[in-house]
Amino acid sequence: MLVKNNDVLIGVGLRHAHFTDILTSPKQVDFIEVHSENFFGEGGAALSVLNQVREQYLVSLHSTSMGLGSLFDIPKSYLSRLKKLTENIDPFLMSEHACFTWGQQQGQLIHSGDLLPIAHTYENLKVMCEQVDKVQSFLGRHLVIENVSAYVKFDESYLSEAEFLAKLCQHTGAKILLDINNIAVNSINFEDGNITKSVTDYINALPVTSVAQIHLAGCSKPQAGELVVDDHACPVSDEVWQGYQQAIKRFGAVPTLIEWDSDLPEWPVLINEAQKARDIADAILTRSSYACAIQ
Amino acid sequence: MRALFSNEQQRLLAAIWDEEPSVLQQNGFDAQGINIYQRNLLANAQRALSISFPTIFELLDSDISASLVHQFLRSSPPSQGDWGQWGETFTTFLSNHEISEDYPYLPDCAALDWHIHCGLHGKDQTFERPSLQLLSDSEPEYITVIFNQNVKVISSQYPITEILQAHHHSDEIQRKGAMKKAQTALLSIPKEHWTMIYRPEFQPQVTRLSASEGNFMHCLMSGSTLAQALDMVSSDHDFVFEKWLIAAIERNLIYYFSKDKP
Repeated sequence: MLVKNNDVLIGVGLRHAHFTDILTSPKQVDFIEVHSENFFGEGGAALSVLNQVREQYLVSLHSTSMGLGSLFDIPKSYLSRLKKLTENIDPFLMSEHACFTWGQQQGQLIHSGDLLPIAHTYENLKVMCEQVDKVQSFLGRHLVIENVSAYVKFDESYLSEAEFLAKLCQHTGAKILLDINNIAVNSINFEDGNITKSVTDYINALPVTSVAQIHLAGCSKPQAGELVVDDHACPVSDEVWQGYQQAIKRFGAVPTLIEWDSDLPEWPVLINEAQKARDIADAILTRSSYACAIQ
Repeated sequence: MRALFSNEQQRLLAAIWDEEPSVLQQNGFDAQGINIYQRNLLANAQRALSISFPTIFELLDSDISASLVHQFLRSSPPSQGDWGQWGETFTTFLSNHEISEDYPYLPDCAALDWHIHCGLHGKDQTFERPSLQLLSDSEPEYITVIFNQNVKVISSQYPITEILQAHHHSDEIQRKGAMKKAQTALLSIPKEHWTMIYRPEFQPQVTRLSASEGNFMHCLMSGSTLAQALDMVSSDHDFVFEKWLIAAIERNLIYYFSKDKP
């Protein structure tokens, strides 16, 4: 079932286990998102699959290692590989996270291997604006930057993450990738767990035109007293679906992606989640159009 | 780096990497949160190495491999932002590790795994057929062979081809046969085993080479001319260049023939 013009674009994250499915199934989503680093090789089967997918679908490149908030520069070798991939795939969106990944251990530059949170301060905002400017200029494209889930927080922060991202976009021309599950995870881990309120507050703190993509995901329930780990191993939760409705109401027909990274389901299950997102978005957008028409 | 060393990012990295409870306390982070990052780091590292070095992970018990991953992570932290590229020094790490005293074939098995892993993502290259004309137009003294970059030849004192096939061959009978051969070879007097990794299309393949094929290819891959390589195997009666050439083209071993030294 394909989108009509002006409807929201719906996509799924493509992982290795679904390579055959995407190439052999009827087209049921509008775009595919892949992790850029998984296609940094110079050739081989994975890149060939991505090129074939690109012939049928829009592709979004989602990077996970750039560490735009790092106090250390992003290595040129990393950016060169990303640029080569970008020129090959010509993605319709390029995204990264508002986190840091590069640091030093015993005098040696290391990569953290994870999306580590940053303190939301003006000092870090300046650092990240510089990094984003550099990367956008190097790639010749605008970035879409995602809010992250976290397991520690910094006492140094005095801006909310939403304020931080809004200012980042204002200064750099980048847009926001709103991950509603990440807001939910942080709400449980660091706030009172009132996900509805956390999502509402977050969404209302972002300018209406600032969001260029939405991520929806689910994660495993933690044991009592433990922090939630954002493992992308489950269907999207009811609270996140509710947050999605609010987001579509506020930001309009924003491309939306279902992320599922571990305990991968069968392809039809993933497609069903995508269809659910489409149904919700269509319902909201149709109601909005109707409301406009009768005013 | 834009700020003083003792910034909050360094504090967080130190808390995750140092694993010392005292460092954690000094840095003031929630222990449960740091523990999640530490678990994620180890799980990502374990997943990455088990993909790049599947034979090593088959050969070792999970508690031993987990401990090796942990040690390797400390000695060679990732530095490129791509877990798929992490592990280039794992072979050397194993060579220097005490585990190689009990399992001396591990480093060579790791080298084979790594070459296969690299071959999976290597450049797509096919034989430039017009260069074949050089064989008719020039003397072997002036010809060098440029191999497909996914072709690697390994010489080992251990039956690493059989060890690999004993764990990964798709056919169970072949797996059992390879296991038997590997066990027999390991109990015999050590001899040189030549193994070749090549990529006819997208999937890297592994095969045993005869000593003459191994020496011949190794010589060519080291930059010697065709004449020098042929001289090296001139007394090996089992080596016939024409036969080797046909198989090499079929297996997509050669990228092109060159008149200049590379």
